[in-house]
Amino acid sequence: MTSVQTGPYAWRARAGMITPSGVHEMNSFEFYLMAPPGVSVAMTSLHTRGWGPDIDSFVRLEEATQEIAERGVGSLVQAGTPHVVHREWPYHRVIVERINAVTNIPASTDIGACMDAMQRLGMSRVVLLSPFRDPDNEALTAYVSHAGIEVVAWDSILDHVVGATGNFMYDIATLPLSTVYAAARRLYAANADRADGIWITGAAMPSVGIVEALEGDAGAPVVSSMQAMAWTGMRLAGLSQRIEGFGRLVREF
Amino acid sequence: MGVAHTPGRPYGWRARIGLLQPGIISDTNPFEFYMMAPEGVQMVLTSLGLGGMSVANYERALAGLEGPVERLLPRKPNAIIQTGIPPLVHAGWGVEAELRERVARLTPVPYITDAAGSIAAMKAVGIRRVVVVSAFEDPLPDLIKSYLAHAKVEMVGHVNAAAGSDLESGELPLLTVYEAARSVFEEHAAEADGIWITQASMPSAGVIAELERDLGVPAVSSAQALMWAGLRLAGISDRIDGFGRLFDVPEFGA
Repeated sequence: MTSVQTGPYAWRARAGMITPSGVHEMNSFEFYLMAPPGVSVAMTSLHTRGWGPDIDSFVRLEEATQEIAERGVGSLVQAGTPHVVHREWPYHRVIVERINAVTNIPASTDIGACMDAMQRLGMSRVVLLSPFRDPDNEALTAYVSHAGIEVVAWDSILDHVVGATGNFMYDIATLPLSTVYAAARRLYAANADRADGIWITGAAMPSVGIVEALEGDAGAPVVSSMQAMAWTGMRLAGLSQRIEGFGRLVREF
Repeated sequence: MGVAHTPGRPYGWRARIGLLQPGIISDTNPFEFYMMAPEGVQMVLTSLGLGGMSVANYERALAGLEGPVERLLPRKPNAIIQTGIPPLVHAGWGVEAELRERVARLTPVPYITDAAGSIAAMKAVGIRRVVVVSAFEDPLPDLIKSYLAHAKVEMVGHVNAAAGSDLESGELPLLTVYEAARSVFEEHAAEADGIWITQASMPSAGVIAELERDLGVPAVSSAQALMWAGLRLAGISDRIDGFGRLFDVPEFGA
């Protein structure tokens, strides 16, 4: 005997996400890789072009918040870590305050979710794998230090991309999972004597599909941006189901 | 959900389907895409920037088509599908040929719109006299009827599945869509030979197999038809179970 689903697709929870780019690719794929039945994600965009100390990526934040709030989402997560960490600590809280000035929907940010996830998993000395260059990795390192998380070493996946076309988003989004896995595993192995976990940020890069294997093989907890955003988005929307196959974070918290 | 990944490979290792949607919020489109997508197929989505349902906005969205297409092209999609019926039927028959020409000036990547994909799908499963299910209000049903007539598909009935509801079309329960489709088909059963559920922001893929089973006729939806067209244009001929007889058709024929 089976039951037939007759309600709306999001009969349990609808998470909301505000992405930097106007092109959605990795976020929805990895969200639905993880999401249990009856859970959906609605997304809108800030339509940013790049990031950095001199670029305000959040000009459209209130407008985007209003758009997505009207879709009846149960949570809101702002995606994109480099857009925040070039600002003064604790800019992720400023983002949440600005969202909450528009709506009372529970909200978080990519960097906020990552820090929360790392703290829950007891990660305080991490290796960082990203698709970013040194200035971004330095900013990420400085930012999370305010939360008591030390980045002991970082690596950019850009140094591992074979056959790169020079098109950043395409090259990152089409990376084989094995490339991301190997880079993360190598980085952790080289620093295993002083690191207690692996942080993968840059949600345009595939990560969710390797988290479980990486945790098992490296013997350390792993947090990735998309995993942490999906986790916090579902939890804030009231879904407490433990999810198997995507790391300790979603299985235990 | 049917989303799966292949260890070691990129997620979209078989095909990357570009999806142009009218509005800025993506909600039902990615959900239904990944309900139906076979392993190794990934969606790359962007918006036409439609600000609301008005003729001026439809015209503006189509006039600016090149912008969203150019946003997609660096992501190297294998095919581009475009949801959204209202801008097309307001512009009238012939607009899709014009849009195809404009996209072809930018790229050789195959491009297909909602109406063309749905009409091709209806013809592929033998629908000639169709009942239409949407959440559209007047004058859109009449415009759709006129548009279909040019393609030699007769619209013999229409129902607004969202009538009397204050829900967004994307939030409608599947049962509401199923019951609307069933009632309009049964009302016109003597003349109709199939069902088309249009408006891809409204849930549809989840009821197609049940409608076909219970009513004994083919059912096509905009989301399903565009998924089928996108896959076939990208060279993926998989038969996908659970979403109607359309996916038994291995090739796209416009």
